[in-house]
Amino acid sequence: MPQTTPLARPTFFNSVCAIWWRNFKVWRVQFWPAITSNIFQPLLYLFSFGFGLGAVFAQMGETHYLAYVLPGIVANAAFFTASFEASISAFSRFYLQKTYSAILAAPVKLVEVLLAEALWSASKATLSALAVLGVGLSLGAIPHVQMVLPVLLFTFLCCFVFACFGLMVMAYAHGFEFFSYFFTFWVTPAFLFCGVFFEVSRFPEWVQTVAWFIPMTHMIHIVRPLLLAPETLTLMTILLYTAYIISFGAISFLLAHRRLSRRLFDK
Amino acid sequence: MNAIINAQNLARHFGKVEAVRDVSFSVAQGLCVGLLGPNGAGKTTTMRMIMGLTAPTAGQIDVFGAPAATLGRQMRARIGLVPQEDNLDPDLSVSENLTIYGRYFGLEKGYLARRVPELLEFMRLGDKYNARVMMLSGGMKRRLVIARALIANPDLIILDEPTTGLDPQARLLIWQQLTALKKQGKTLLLTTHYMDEAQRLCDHIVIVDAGKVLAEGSPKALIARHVPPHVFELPKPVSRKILALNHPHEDLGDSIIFFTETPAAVINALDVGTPYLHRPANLEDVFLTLTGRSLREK
Repeated sequence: MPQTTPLARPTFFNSVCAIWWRNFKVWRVQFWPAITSNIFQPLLYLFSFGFGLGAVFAQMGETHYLAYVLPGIVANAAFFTASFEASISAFSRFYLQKTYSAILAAPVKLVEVLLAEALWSASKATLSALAVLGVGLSLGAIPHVQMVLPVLLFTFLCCFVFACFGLMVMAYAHGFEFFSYFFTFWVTPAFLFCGVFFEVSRFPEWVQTVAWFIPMTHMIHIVRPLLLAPETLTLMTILLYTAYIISFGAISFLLAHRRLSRRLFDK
Repeated sequence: MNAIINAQNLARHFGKVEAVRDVSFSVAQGLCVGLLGPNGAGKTTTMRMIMGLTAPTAGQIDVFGAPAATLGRQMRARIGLVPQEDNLDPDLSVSENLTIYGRYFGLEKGYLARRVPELLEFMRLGDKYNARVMMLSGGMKRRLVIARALIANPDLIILDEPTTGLDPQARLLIWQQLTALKKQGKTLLLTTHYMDEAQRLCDHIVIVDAGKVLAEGSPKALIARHVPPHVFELPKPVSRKILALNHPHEDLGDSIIFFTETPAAVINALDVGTPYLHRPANLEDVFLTLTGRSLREK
């Protein structure tokens, strides 16, 4: 075999890109099942609730119900996809396929693996959100079209945070059964109580407290006014909610890293 | 002598379990060193410490002259690891597995485009370029894992049981290619449970058990030092004349093996017509003499 000394440039940036790329390649192989759950499923929600409940409510205050529920479905699609990818999918890479062990035998650090996993989950989840926004646009259910791009960027940030929480849960899991807690006490409550279908303020106070712990509530309370009535949104609200979302992600990421480094490096 | 790996009084505890108690050895450049020991002897933990994946509780482990735990990325890129389990990407093709692994090393596209087919040819997987990994046989997967470890043309290759569970043809090919790598000046560290493999490939052998080094040296030196050169295997019952020779022996159940310096004495003491097997002592005899014959499972 010819002996060429390769130019290896193992850097933080190269590692993160390489792992993101790895996930992208696998996703392309599993394109149709992935598209089905990440794009068609949120659209089913949109049609069912938008038209079904829309027929019951017709109006939500001044707004047509379809326009009202659309930002909620955007947020839920993002939340669900990011949470699923960073928890169960990441866990199967870590636990079943030993992908993390393989990667860590190369000159890659754990923080790069986790960062790439979160970025990948966020990318996939943003695509789900984009699909819902696209359908919303074509149905004319988005009054402020110029806000779609800012919403998409903000959605990417939120997805990254949801993914960090998923990674944290994954880092503590010792089997797939563990994720039934995650779906019962995190993913489903977010869907039901964070304001996807109606105002959080309709719930009893203790339910509201729970809802405002889940950062999807904050996301919906920024995305919905952005698409329906941007003038009602104050800068203070945006900053405060965004700060909460980012802190939530940072803490989750640190816990995920701490727990996984113990498991992978026998600390 | 230029030591690529240098372990000094290495120890690693997991809670109360002492996986590695006191291990010292060094691996000189261009040699193949075998780390042998029963299951649970501390081999994998030692390899993980060399890779910097586990920190030692005591002692020192240097790789390329620097402590393994603080080895920089550029130095880490000079090590190729063949892990015990096949952690390939099952959904990706054979070539994609190599290309993507190369990207973890920050290798450029042009180099990978040349290197990947070259490595697949080297491991006789050339016709599997586009095959999905999940369609490969166990032997092919193992060869692909070895090819993957070579992606950045490493100077040090660490192999954790490279041929376990493979058919004789696959093992032979792997042996040939590991010998070829040695000829290129690569340094190899391997663990194996196959003593014939260790005897064939290794220049130097370190036998560990219960986290400690029991013996080390070249296969020839170990055999000369620890067991008499000739081995006879005789079916039971064995005649009194043979037992009277008082040679060291081991009971295998339905037969007994005798170790001797003087094969003629054993042959003379045999009753006419007794079937027997006479062979030179090998590494397996050394290994079993040092680590015992009883099963290790707790």
